[in-house]
Amino acid sequence: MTVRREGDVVWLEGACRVEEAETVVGLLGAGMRTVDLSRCQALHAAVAQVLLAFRPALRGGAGGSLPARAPAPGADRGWRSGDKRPRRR
Amino acid sequence: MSDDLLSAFVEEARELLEQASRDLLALEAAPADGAALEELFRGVHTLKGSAGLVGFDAMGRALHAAEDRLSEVRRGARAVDAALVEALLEVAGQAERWVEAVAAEGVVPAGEAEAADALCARLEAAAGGPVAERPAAATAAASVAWAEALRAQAPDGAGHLIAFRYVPASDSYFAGDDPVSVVRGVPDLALLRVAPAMPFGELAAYDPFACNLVLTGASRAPLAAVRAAFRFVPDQVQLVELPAIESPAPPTSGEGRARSIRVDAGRIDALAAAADDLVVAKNAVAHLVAQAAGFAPAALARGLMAAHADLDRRVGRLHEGIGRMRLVPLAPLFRRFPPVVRQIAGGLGKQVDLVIAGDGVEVDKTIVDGLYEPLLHLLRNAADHGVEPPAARRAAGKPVPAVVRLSAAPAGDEVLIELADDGGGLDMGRVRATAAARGLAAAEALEAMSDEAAADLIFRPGFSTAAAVTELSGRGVGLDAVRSRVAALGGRVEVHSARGAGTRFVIRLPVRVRLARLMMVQTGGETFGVPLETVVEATRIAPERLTPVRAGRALVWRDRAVPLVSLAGLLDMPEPAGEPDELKVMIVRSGDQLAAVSVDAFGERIEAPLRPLAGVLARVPGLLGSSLLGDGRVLMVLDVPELIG
Repeated sequence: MTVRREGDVVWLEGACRVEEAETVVGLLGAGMRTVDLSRCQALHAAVAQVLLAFRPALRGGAGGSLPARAPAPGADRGWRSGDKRPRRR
Repeated sequence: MSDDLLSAFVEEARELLEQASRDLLALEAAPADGAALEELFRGVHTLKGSAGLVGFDAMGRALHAAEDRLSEVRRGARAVDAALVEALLEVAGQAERWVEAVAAEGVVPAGEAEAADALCARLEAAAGGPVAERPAAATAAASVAWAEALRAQAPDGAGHLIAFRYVPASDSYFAGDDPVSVVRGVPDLALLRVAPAMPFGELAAYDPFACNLVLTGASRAPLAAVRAAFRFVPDQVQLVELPAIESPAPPTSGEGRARSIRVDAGRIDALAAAADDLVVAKNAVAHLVAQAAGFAPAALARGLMAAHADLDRRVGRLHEGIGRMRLVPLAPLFRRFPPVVRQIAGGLGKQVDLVIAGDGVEVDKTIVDGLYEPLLHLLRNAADHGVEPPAARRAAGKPVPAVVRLSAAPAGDEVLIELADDGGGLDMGRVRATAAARGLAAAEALEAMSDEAAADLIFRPGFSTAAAVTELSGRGVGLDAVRSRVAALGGRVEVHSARGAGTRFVIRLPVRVRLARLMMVQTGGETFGVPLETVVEATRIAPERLTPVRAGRALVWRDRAVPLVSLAGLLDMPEPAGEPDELKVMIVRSGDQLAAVSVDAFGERIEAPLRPLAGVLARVPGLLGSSLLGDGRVLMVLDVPELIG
């Protein structure tokens, strides 16, 4: 699990993959205003885009713009075989 | 036409164009930014009018076309997209060249109709929806304003750069692309900006799987390498080669820009060392001024003192200025750790991901150089003791691999370096038991101690035991070594822990090497320095006020019983013979306890650069570093709390 809700805060942890964008949209759309990235290692572009769109308060660790800090050394790159892909609706 | 009119036009146009560029960049980052759109529209409108006034028809025509597009956006008839911003940036770039031509020639240039036509066509194309797919070939730099705009933002932007603009197709996520990860693959990334390609509109209808991003950036790598990074999405990327600027263009106005020159680090070090020596020489003068005050005429003594105070201030400013020159980013240091951590974790059969953040923070080079060992020690510690084995993590419902986060953030004059693991946290019961077993504190005291205070015991010398020294701990030193290294750099380290959730070490360091404030003390005929921060008070005590306590003696200081030790005893030097009339003692804080340390004499207080010890001396416990005295003697600076241990 890489998206977790704790009180009013959405925690993104580990490597956040494309399918998690929908979960984050659900939480932010339901009024959660803060996202904690301190344990986040990599953000898929789809998840980063959700943060750009909903503009929640971001917190966690040192500063830096979202795209600069989203990917980290050792983080996963894109798809790995066996990953789930989003289904077209 | 009057020169006055033309020069007024140039002045106004420069201002408006500068503002327009800012507004365009703001719009690019946030296409829904209404304020930027309004300001841009007004600016373009005003400039169009001015161009007409001075008879610059070509410029007026191009601006008119731009104004049309912008007014469509204001009406809501079209959205601000990447193509439109790009076309508008081109108009602004051309207008800037025209204005500079007017400034240089003093007349409106003739025969610019073609350029204006090209811009109008460009705006027309942008209005017709997304511009046609472009091959990922480098276009001539002069024609692409967005790339030049990127150069202006890139650090050290004068060098050779490849600018890219990547607009992923809206079904990219379905196609299995992660644009962020694609961009991460660009070697030598100097700048990266991620913005929405179109305004997001109504968030209630937000589609999480429709890609709506534009990623722009610049790389210092060769064109072929950048192109290779985008090999799977060549049709969505535009690359522009920006050749190095041979010589910086002279500033067009009196406004100073931040410029930089590259200087060999060795020269800066030599300059910094010279400034350190100057501080020492200044301290020598202080000594002489104090002597002169004894017998020189009062007016002369006062003059000397005033001159010295002035010197003091100026030397301080010089020292600080040079200190600022020595600031370097933490990134190269932090980059050394991921492979080391992988190796350490692998050796322990654990899985650890090291997450690094804030490595752009700048600190003094000496501090960066001195941080490798303490941080490595903490990382080993985190992998060894902090993080649980995979099976235990799974059983606790925690993700595998574990995450160790190394981050830095500026905090005023200080930099905060944090190393946090998501392991089991400190077992306070075991910490207390170990501390009791090692005789670091009495059992009752340990019971009464807050968890925070007890956790701090792990930094005490003697806490980590031979039994706990695995091969990882290398030289067999404990966290006390980390604390003394950090102290030698002018910083402090503390630990926070939450059972089950992890341990967090926080290191606070000065961004610049500060002059250490030292008190000189004498014992056994030798002079030592003690950092003033560790001394709570320096006082004189009558021997009658001492009470014998078990093997030693104690004194009552501010209603507290404080054990007395002699500095000579701590240093294994011969104790002075006989009992003096009064004892000179420093009250020193060691952990959360106070101790009184007797010395033969107190010396003056000085400010001096503290140099960390190198070689064999670096491993001598109780020594923080050395400092040069005004008379050329070397002063050993003591870590008294560590000596008391």
